[in-house]
Amino acid sequence: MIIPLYAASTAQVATKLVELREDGGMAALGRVLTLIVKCEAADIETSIQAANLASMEHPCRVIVLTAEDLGGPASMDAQIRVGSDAGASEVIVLRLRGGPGDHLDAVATPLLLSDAPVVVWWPDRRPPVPAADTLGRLASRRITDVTACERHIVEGPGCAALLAAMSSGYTPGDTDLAWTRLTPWRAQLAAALEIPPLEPVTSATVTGPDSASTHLMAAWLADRLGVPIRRQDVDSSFMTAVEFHLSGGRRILLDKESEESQAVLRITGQVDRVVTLSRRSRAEALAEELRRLEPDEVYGRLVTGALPARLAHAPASGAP
Amino acid sequence: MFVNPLVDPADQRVPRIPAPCALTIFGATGDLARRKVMPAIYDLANRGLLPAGFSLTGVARSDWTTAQFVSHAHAAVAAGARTPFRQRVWEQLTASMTYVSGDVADPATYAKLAEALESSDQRFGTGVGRVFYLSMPPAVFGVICDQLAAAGLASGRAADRAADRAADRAAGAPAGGPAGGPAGGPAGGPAGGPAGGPVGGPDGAKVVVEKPFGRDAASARELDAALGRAFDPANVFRIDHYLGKETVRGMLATRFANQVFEPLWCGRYVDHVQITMAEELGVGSRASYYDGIGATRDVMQNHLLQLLAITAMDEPASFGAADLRAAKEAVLAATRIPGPVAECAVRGQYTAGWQGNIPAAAYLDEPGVSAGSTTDTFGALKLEVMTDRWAGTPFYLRTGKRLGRRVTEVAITFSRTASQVRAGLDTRYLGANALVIRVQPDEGMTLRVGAKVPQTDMAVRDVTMDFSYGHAFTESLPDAYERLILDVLLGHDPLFPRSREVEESWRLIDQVEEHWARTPGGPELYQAGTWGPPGADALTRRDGREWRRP
Repeated sequence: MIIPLYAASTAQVATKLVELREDGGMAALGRVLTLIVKCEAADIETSIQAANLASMEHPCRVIVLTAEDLGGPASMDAQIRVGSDAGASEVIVLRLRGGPGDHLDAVATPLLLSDAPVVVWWPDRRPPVPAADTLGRLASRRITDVTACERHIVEGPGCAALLAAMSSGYTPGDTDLAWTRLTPWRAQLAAALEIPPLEPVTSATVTGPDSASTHLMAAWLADRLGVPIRRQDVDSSFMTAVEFHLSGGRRILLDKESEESQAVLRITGQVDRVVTLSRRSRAEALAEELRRLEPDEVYGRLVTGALPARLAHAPASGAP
Repeated sequence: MFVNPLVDPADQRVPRIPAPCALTIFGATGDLARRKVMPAIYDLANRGLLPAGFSLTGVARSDWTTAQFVSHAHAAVAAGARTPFRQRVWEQLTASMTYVSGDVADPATYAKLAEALESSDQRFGTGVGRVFYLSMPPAVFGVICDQLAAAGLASGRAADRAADRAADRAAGAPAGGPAGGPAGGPAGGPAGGPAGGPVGGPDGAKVVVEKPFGRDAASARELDAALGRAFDPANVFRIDHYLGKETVRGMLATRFANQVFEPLWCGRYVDHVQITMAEELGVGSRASYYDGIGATRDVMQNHLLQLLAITAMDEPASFGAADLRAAKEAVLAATRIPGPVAECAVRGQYTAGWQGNIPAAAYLDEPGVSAGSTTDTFGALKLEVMTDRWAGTPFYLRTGKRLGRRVTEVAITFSRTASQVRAGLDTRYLGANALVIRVQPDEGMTLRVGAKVPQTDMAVRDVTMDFSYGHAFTESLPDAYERLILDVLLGHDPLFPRSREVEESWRLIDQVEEHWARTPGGPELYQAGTWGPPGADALTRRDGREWRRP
């Protein structure tokens, strides 16, 4: 069910929410957080879809905010979505028009669930310093998506500038879906090192496009392994391989030839092993983010340490 | 000692993926494999949690080809998997499947199995680990274990080292590599020795068994001995799938993370506890197993007593495997039947009736049930936990087939407040406060409290607050079997009962079964679709209490 409220006030939206609950006869709801989604108008539907799926795992109130300055006086159109149009709980869509649009925090505040943690997700454009953003200040966890920004900025400063911003603007509680999408890769790589011969890694190569994900992977490996990590650029839309060179001369290669769900683990002298390595949907990545509401220490260490260190030494062209 | 530099304790995202292994399922064409095990394995594959280097070998008596086995597995996965079907994942999984037909008592079966495992190792690189899942009646565990040991299949490390050496040779790696196995693990024995002895040692193959763990304490010990001839006790995984359920794991969090519950969680505030596991179904096609075993042995010995242990245990020193087990063992060891068995235990058997709008046959008329069977399809038991926390607080357990509806729950019923009995509050319609942990279906929690009736002076009545965290979960959350199988592959065992727990459980159940065996008359009858025989009500009424209607 979608209930539109045109030229509404937040007070009307809040009243309607209480009415809906009383009419629906729902006595108790288990909700763990409020998820604020700040996106472009064009991304509303896809973002809601992802948020709804994630809310199945983490029941939450979803508040979607867009602000467009089309001139004219400030106004707001609202929608409340419940039932099959929402996930586990309700979705509130607030479209602000006109005016400066710098009061989004004031719009969201009356609609936050009492006491529950607040998470902000920017599915497309990333504020330069998420923790200083008007909405970001309301939240203990702030989720950006550099990969989506890369797609938005066709002729922009490129990946390096975004990564630099991610690094310089970092505040504990920030994470980025480019990092979340690496989790299946990191799990497979960690498991691969536990297959004999169990020898130390002397160097490694990350092969893929000049993207946030490959930079983060290289930074993570550099941080954990303390050995030279080379990044090899290829023209591809996804990371294609990570290779370890071992002290005994052998190598371990995790090789993803297509964007299909599988990759091949090749260890010198051993039979090739096929592993499942799917590209994760936005909803899956978002659900992983919402599992833990404390700062991701590992991510924090990377974006304040290994990542800027590598960016300083390697120009964006992608040399070692 | 090799320390994996990519494993970071601070990193809470990365799931652990097990080491390469070959999984063999005995009874692979059976009901449990079809309904639970196969779908769980597919879901693990789909989530990317199966090891790189995995093979699945099915062993059963049916004279099938591997292709037939694969199509059987396909139907099982299509019907039971929780994650979406992906052709590529399925193809990869089926490529690793082999079917071995044969009798479990025939050494030739194991020769074929050894050959299949060897071939899997060469094709998929599964060398390091072996897991044998015995989805079979316990009567054949002994022979399977002995045959596995005789065929040299139960020991893991020797094979592992052989595989390493083969890999070394193939790689042309410099000789004089780390002697004693690169793992440098605790595995004893010379590095170049032959396949190890019958006992695999802690690094040996793993074995998974399902309940029932015997039919009494003596047979449970025999089973242990049989398993112990081939497998190290640390490698024996007893699956009680209730312990894989999210709600049951969540009970630990509910109890120990909440100041509003934990202080009240004792005999001073709790009047009694009821643990119910009710099924709607009758014995169905399981009569050949069930008849002569009965509800009390089939589920009370394991599921219900495990739920009791988790409900009643003191806070473990940690949530690690050893401490958790110690806490459960302590509480089971402190549990006793308070009084004559005749007054504390009730058995029942269903007669014809209605299951909702569907007619249900009497147990004695079910196919495969022996004439005049005295098997209990219902069991109720009163227990007392003799710890400082619980002494004097009864725990009522009941389970049965063909009961009012399918439900499993733990209900903590609190004592009444003093003001309830004083004048001023009209509490005629007020029951006791209760906290109900709903294990299945509709996983969640219900809190029953008193609230003032609107428009009355000061009348108070019960109101329930239903908390469903679980209902919000999609079906893509892992099933209990999926979690438990992953735990087996990883060698994590915090929730698998060990033999001490099994033995303590049988100590209680044996007293009941022995009493029933001596008592003429057989079980009390109850109509299908009701909540059990009159004796069950008498059991609680003797104490001035009533069963909940779940």
